Amino acid sequence: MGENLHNHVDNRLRESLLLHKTNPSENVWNKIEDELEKDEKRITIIRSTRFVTLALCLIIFSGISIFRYWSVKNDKPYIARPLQNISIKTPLHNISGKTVVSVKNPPTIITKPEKNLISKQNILLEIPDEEYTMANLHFPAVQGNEMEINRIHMNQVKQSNDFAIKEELLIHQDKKSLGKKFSFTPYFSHEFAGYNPVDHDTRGSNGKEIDVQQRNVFSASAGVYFNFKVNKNWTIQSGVSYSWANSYLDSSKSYAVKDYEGNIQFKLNTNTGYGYLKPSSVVPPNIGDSILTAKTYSQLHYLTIPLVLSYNISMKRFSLMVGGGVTFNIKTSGMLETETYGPGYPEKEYTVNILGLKKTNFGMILKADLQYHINSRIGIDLIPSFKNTLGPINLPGALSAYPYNFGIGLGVSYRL
Amino acid sequence: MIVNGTDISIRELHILIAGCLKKDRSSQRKIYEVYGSRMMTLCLRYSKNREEAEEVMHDGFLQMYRCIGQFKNIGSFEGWLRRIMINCALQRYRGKSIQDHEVSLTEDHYLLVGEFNSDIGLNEKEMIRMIQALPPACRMVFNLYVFEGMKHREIATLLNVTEGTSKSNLYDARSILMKQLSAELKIAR
Repeated sequence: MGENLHNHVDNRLRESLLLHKTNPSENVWNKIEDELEKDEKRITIIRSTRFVTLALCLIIFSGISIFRYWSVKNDKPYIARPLQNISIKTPLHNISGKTVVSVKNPPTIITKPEKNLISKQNILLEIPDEEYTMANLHFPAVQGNEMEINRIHMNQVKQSNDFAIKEELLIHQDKKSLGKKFSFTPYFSHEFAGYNPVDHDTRGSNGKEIDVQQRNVFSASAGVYFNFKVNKNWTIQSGVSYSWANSYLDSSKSYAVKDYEGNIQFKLNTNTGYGYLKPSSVVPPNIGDSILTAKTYSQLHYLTIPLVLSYNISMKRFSLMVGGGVTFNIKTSGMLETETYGPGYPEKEYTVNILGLKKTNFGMILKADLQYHINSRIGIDLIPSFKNTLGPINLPGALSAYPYNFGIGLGVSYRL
Repeated sequence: MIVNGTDISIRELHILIAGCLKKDRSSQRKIYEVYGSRMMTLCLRYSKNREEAEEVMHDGFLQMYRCIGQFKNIGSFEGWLRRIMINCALQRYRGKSIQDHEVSLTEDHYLLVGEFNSDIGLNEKEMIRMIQALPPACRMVFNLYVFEGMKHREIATLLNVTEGTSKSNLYDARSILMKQLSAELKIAR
């Protein structure tokens, strides 16, 4: 009996309360929303901190590289010792016992047999007019049993007791082969893209209000840089890249307006442009009617041609190219994906073109290219960059958007 | 296809979950609107008053939004959300002082809930207040046993008590509640 009574109590309460609903106070959601906003700020701060840390590391690393570069350059000159002439293509190991070397273009090489040529990367050149100076070999590449010398930077060398060397700074370039000045770098860059909006619709809701709803997600670009080395320090870079910037717009209301053909359609505004959604109902809407749009996915694709002037700093196997320039951007596609729902309108999925966008625009680019040379031809590149458009990407309207992005790219350089 | 006990379809629910994964505020709000009122009842049952229940609910929803990536679409979303709420209530219960836990059953409890006696039956609000008026340990055991269908062994592990204590707490809870429902029981018999 007791057990039955207990079961009755249990069942009575379970049946009454299991599916019972009690409205919480509005305050609960407000508190939750506050916490969620704090969470998002925390995430943004963490991401920003990571980015700043990376940028700082890069700056510090660049600073150290520059400092070391100058330190080495102003270091006490190498004292030459009795040297031994080596004719072109004479295998070095026969003399030094270290490495087999053939030299492509320098007329004659004089080296120190007792030193490890590769580890020191120092070599002495005999210039055709019989002026001797010391060269610092950059990027000697060991290929099988051969070392290929592509670029030679000459250092200032003092006279030694054993060997008379003229005190002057010479730079040897392989002028015979123009191809050696060229390299190309295919790369892929992960980017954070954003938009600086300018509101021309201060009274309406088609301006900067949209920016609040828009959330940027993964964007990227891939392409290739063609590098032309003008001289020891300067490089001109150009090429082509394909970039895609994605973003989400929170669900919102779209209002019925007349489109450019006079049809009444729902207009979906975004930061970058707008799209028309054909009503899903049989009865056409009136101007001003609204419909709910679910989360809207926006994709913008551009083909970009950059022109960048970079300054080179070399340090053993590393080199850093820091530069800036302009970009010419050609819009290849712009799409909006969304879904509508609302009273009187059946659910419908849309994929529509983004309208109100300029076909082309100009931008600026700041980039660094930290390169690690695996050998004389191949290098691995880390390419942080910042891009911004010089003008709005959209045609005159309620909102002008100036996109910008920070990117971290990885690439591989190949010298011809 | 409508999700059990709600007015949204499974497809809509999946869209909302995907929205929550992308930190879309409107999706988060919609999920809250769909499940908030049922979770509120649950939180009320596990708490001693409305304020405490709202705190549990606040913690539970926040945890859900933060961990929504862990929901694998296997089983019901509501069931997963209920587990989160219950865990939050249990954490709060465990976090309280030992004194709170060891409130012994006194006549006051019977007197307190005695106010709800009614010949015409009790409404849901009164039933919730009856459960809230139970001593915390009894309330926890009763909720876990009756509403979540847990065994005493599981409850004992969750609450870090012995099986005997769990059974005893359940017995006490039922005894108090039975008194309140006595009028209704007479009618039933």
